[in-house]
Parts: sequence; structure tokens; C-alpha cells
Amino acid sequence: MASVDKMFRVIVAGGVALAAAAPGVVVGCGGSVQHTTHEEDSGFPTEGPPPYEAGRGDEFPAETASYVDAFPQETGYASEASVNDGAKADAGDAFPQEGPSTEAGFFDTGALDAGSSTDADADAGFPFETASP
Amino acid sequence: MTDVARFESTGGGARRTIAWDALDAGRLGDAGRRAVGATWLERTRQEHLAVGAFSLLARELAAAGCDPVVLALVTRAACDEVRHAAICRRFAVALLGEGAVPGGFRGLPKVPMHAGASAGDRVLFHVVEMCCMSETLTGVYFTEMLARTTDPVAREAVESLLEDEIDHGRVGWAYLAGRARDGALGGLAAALPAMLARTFAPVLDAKPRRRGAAAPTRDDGASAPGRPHDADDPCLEACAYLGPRAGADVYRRALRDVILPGFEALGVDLAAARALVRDRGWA
Repeated sequence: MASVDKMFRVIVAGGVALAAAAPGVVVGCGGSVQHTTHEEDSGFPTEGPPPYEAGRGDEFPAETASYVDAFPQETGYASEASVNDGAKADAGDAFPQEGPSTEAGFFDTGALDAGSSTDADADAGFPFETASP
Repeated sequence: MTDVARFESTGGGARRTIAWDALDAGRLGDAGRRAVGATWLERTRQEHLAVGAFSLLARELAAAGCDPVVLALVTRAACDEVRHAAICRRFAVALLGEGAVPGGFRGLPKVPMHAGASAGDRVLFHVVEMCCMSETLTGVYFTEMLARTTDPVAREAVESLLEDEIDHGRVGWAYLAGRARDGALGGLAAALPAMLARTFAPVLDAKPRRRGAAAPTRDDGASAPGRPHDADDPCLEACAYLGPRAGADVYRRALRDVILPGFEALGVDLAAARALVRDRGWA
């Protein structure tokens, strides 16, 4: 099973190298990602990426138009009010509150569509895309 | 209905046009078509569930903050999975017929929410289980499947999935590397055994089929002469299929040679994980 032998370098080392690449190097290429180091990389990078906090904001940016307070406005149009009154992006525990109850199983698989869709009937855990028989 | 599987990428990348009509499924025989088709139908369901899983990760990562490269790959992965589900469905239809395959799935994965974990730990656990384990495993699995697939159409389909799956695994290791760099691995070491069990036990702890139980064969009622009951069948493998034995071997090798070494290289304490692997006889 020779194909397994190279996968550590391709996936693990390739991913670690991504973490060390500067932001902005991601380019679409037929569903894959090209970056500066992974093709020849045979180990782990020694240089760290920019500070983790550098790419993180804790307020909605000025992208938000003042008259919309639900979804971000990616047009870039901004009023003074939106700049000054931006809400915190770090919503803390907002996700568990907005989503279905954890105790209730977290997700509702829903009912059958009237059309041809059918329930995915998820088992517990993340999907198994291998679908190994 | 719009065929999502034929969508061209809007991000500058090329998507494959797969000539489904040219798939040579006749040599599989009726039972073989059913066996291989069933795996692609199940894969359709799992790929659909992966849309929800990556959407969850994208929200959690956006909330917690992460390297932009991680957020870009995770959000794109959710879109990738929509296309993957469409490709898998087309494959299933080619083998089983339109009437035997749902037009689509609905529903979301029931992911573990790690009650008691901090939000920061939870997102780490989710990325690790989904990307470092499940997607990395999928990348290895499809790589091995591709190595055995000879049908040109089937190869196109597998390659189309694989080129994304590699990135879906990489993004997990990229995120984990960042957390390791920041000394923010939290309770990962203690959480690993349960994650490994969820990911690997369904295949590695599966009982071998008993004699007489249904198994993929090329023709109704008979396995290939002299072939063990659940042995790998090159004829089925030619059309993008890994049998139980080959699949389990991929799982074992991916765990031993890719995933555990990855954690180790990033400084994750593997004492509990290795104890589980040893106790279950997985490596």
C-alpha cells in the first residue's frame, strides 16, 4: 500500500506548512490550494506565522451599513454610526444559544421533502466520507 | 434541476467534466453494480452531512478567530462538499439507476458538543476530529482507491473528490499547528481517545462477515472462485471501490503512519491515545 506512505508529507506536513505561510497566499486551483512551501517541504517549518491575534478583530468592521444590524454588508458602504456602534464580533456563547439544544441532540435532521430529497439520518459523530463498506 | 456537479469554479480553478455515460459498469455484473453503487449512495449522504459539519466549523472558527488561511479553506470546504455530494450521487445513479437514488439529502450531522469544554477547546476538538482525523483519513482512503481504480470515468470522479479532500485534511493540521505554536492545545490529549474511537472503531472493530452473509460479488450468488468471502475484488476495485479488508487496512495505516505521527510531531501528548490503539489492537 505504497500510496499511504506519502500521505504524511502531503497532508500533515502540507497543512503545517500552510500555517507558516503568510496570509493571502491561498489561490484557487481546481479545488486544491497552492502555497509557497508544501511541494518541496519535507518537514516542518521553523518560522512561525504572524501573531495569531493580528488577523482577529473583535468588532464588526465598517462594512456594516447603519440600517442593517443583522448581516454584514460586504459592499464596504459604511456610515459613521456603523463605525462607531459596531457590535462585537466575538459573540461568546452565541452559537450554542442560537442553535438547537445540545442535550436534544443538537441537530434536527428534518422531515422528508415533498420532492425527492430524503433525510440524511446522521449517526453520532462527524461524517464518514470514506463510506467504507 | 441544476447539476451542481458540473459547476465551474468561480475561484479560478477548473472543475472536471465527468463523462458519466462512458462509465463501464457492465463488467461489474448486477451484484457488483449494487455493491459499488451502494457505497456511492452512502458516500452521497456522508458528503451532504459534511456540508453541515464544515459550516459549523466555519462559524466556530470565525467566532474564535484563526489564521485567514484556515478560515478560507474551511468555508470553501463547505461548498466543496455540496459538489462532492452531487458527484457521488451521479456515480450512484450511474450504477443503481435514477429511481434508486434520492434526488438529494437533507439534515445535519450530530456532532459531539463536548459538554463542559470551553469554546476554545470545542472548536479545536471539532477541527481535529473532522479534519485531522476524518478528512485526513478520507484523503488517504481515496488515494488508495485511486491507485486501484482503472476505469477512466471512475478515476475522474475519485480525483475530483480527492483534490479537495487533501485540502480538507491539511486545514486541520494547519489549525492544530497554530494552536500548538500558541501553546493552546487545552484538553486535546484527554479528548483524543473518544475522537479516535468515533472515527476508527466502526471499521477497525467491525466483525468480519460471517460466511453466507451478503458480500459484494461480481455476479449474483457467487464470489470469484477461490476468493475468500470478503476479499478484495480487483474487478470491483477497478470501478472505485475498496472492500472491507482493503478499507480496514487503509484505516489502520492512516492511523499508524499519518494521523498519530502528525499529532506527535506537533507535540500533542499521545499517551492516552496510544493506550486506546494498543488496547483495541488497531496498530
